[in-house]
Amino acid sequence: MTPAGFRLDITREMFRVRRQRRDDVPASLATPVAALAFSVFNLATLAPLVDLAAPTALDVALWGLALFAVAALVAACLLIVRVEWRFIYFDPPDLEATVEAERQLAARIGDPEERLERLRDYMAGAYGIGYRRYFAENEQRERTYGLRLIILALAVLMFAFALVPLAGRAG
Amino acid sequence: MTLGLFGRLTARARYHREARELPRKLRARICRELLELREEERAVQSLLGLPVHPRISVVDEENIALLRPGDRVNLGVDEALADAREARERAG
Repeated sequence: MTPAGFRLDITREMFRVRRQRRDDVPASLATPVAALAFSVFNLATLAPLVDLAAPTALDVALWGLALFAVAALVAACLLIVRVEWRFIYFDPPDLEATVEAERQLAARIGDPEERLERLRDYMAGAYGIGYRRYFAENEQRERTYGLRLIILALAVLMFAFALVPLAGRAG
Repeated sequence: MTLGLFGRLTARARYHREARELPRKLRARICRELLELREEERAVQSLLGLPVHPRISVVDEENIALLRPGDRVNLGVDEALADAREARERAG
């Protein structure tokens, strides 16, 4: 294998792996969305246990914890939506661009073997750019922060449910 | 708004949208992407010592937009003009 062929194989493989990871991003949102739905049911269970008509200190505490959980869940929703916001794909040069590149190379390089090598480098360069772009775009920070906020909301709700028996109430 | 929603329910794309048919905001965003790509393409060209630089296609699946290298002129990212402008700025 020639060095240009080697470069093409390596960069194409790296591009494909990153592209595959890119396609996996929407599927990875299933976990935080399921946890979000679960948290909302928890809120619905907590709500009847809070009596704001004649509020005690415990009612206010439960209400505050529930509000904090709601704020965390709303923030998590926004972060999760942002993961897929403005999803753009990058593809290697299309047929038209490749033919044009071949034509320009033919005008400058006479040897067909050398031209083919340059064309391999041309495609390797394109795959290299695509790889780097996907590497940056595959960033999952928003999903991670969203999931952490949902876990925080669940922990707050868990604490709130632990306080409920202090009031001696039952759902 | 409502009609727009129902329109989306029944619409079916037969072919991708051309560069000139894209909404202005989307055009501006893709132009920015292409300008960033242009710098990377130049860097790769210089790294590999290529006489031509590779040109990437940009695909926005949500908006059914496919921007091929040949569409860059229609988007206002005419590279020859941009090159001339940069050369002029360097000289000036």
